[in-house]
Amino acid sequence: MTTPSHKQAQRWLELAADVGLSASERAALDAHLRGCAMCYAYSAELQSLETGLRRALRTRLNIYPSRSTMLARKLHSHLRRATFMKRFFRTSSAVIGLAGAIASLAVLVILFRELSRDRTPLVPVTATPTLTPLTFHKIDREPAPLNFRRGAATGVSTYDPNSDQPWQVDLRSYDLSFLDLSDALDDLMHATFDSQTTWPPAERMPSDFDWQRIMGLGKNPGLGVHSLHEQGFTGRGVGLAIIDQTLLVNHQEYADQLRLYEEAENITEGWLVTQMHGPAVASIAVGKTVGVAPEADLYYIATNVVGADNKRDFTYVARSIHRILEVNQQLPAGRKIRVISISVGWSPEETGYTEVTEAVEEANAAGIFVVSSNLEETYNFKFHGLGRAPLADPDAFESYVPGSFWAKSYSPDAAWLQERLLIPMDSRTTASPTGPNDYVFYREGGWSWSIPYIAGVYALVAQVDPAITPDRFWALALETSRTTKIEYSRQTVSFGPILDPAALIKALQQGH
Amino acid sequence: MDTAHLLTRCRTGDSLALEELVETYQPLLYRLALSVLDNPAEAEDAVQDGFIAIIDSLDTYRGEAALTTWVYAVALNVCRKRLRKRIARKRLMQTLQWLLRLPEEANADPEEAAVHNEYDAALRRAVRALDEKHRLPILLHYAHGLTVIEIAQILGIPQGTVLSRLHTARKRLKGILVGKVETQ
Repeated sequence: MTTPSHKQAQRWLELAADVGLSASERAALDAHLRGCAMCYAYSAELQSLETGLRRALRTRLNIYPSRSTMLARKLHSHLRRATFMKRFFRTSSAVIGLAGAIASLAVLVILFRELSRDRTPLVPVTATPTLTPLTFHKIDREPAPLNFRRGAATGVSTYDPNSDQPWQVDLRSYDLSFLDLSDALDDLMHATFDSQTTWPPAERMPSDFDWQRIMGLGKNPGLGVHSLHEQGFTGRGVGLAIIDQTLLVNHQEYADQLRLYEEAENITEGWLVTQMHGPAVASIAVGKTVGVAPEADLYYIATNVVGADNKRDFTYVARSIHRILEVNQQLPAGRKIRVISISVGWSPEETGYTEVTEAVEEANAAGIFVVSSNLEETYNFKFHGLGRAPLADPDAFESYVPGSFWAKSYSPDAAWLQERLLIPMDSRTTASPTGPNDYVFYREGGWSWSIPYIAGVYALVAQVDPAITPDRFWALALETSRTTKIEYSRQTVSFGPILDPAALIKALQQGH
Repeated sequence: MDTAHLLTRCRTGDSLALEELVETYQPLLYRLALSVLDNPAEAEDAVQDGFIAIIDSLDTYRGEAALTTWVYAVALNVCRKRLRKRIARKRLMQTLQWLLRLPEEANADPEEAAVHNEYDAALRRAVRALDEKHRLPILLHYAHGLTVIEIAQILGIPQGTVLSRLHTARKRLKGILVGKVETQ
């Protein structure tokens, strides 16, 4: 053991007071102090000063107790004022900046609605003329856009109709400008692409492939939903919650409708950037051009269902449902959350199954319909997703066919298909995770895209009839559904029941 | 209720959560404000301002430091602003006193009457006499029992700087106390 110098010993004494010493330093210091009167005196002086400081400073703090009262209430008032001011200034600046454009648009919308009313018999019967004010606005984080970093493509995959592989022709964010795709029409008609996809010039593209038209048609939610919007059925005043992956919160499709964005604790590294799923489901539900209920209030909680061990864990989904119920209690009577969209399903062997099942029951008891992949298990409601050719009219019921992922197992006599409500799924254009003004066309979808669609229709229905229940909604949706004809094995067969949102709302208005 | 949940609810304006936040941190903040500002009435005001600052900056809390440390840091900033205002006000008063020959403000602090230990009183006066840079580490360490790591996080300075400031402050306190004793 080395003997420290006086300077080193005094330095150690200071360190001992502030952060402590290692055992060997302590032993060396003690040995030095035993033989050095000067450093021993220094130690005693330091100890006396420290004891005095603790006593003198702490005694003073104890003789003046705080007399503050009502602090929490004052803070609550402050928070409400701050929230109001934030919204006020944000709204004011937006209004000032866009005043001219909004005024013109308002005139056009009013004229258009008036004209539409003349042509159509439907008028909202219970929609409140003025909305209950809502100051709720809470965005916890703004996840960064997703960058696929794909660069130039060397070719386009060939579509194999016999393969079960989804998204065989995925062209999202690829630079295709150097390719000659003149002979690739069949492949391109099965392509998924986005606003970042760079296409070759027209002379190197098939003349029958119009990607802009495909993307435009995909924006239409279909089944006559846009005509319902024109009549004022937009989900206005109805709260719709989504539990899904991270969201690009400022996407133009839903930014104005987003009232809450929170992230569960399991949104950590690897999940922080915007995921492709979130913007898609949010825009299908409430997107202003692609959504079913473009004026519904959106409450969004991001989570993921993959645990640290790579196994699925639904504990956080259950917690998120509870959080939505908690938020709902704070909302005014005219702006409550009526439906939660969860584009995932859970099985009994998975972690959190019991918790999430119970949470759904609690939500149901609180008057909130939880639409998920487990709809059959939780409510005994059966549904399936519809397919559509990219250039077929989304508003025409005859455009719809069995969805891509199950078309091969389709049979008109299949018992499992009976009484299964069919909902749009394939060939949808949604908000893209790549940027706030970007879109993506998903040639093939899954139940993930049908679930927010159902939630959106429920929001429209809840606007018309706030007393609606999931059971009545589903029964009426089946009752008013439509059956069409499709070609199957060289025969024309009946295909349905397809959800008919306009017929559903009309039935509600007529008191069914 | 865990911290993240509490903060999330506070952000939404949940009054129960705000009550819990205040209940948990008011005693801590008040003691912090009182130790720094040395004036009970001003400390009360600072606590209220501190909570408002905490509420306003809840979104900036990323969980990198313990919530208590972060709360201390936000509230300490409020106290420092008040100290700076006080110094400016004092300078103005000194100027006015010189110009208008105003009587000096009486010391309204009843503390001296309440505390009888002369050494402690001298020690506190010595701490007050330190500049802010050296006084704050002393207060945080001895009055609030915070570790060097926590002080570094609260003041936003390296741990080595905290150690150095504590060392210098103690040296100066010893000097001040020796001077007092000699002049008494």
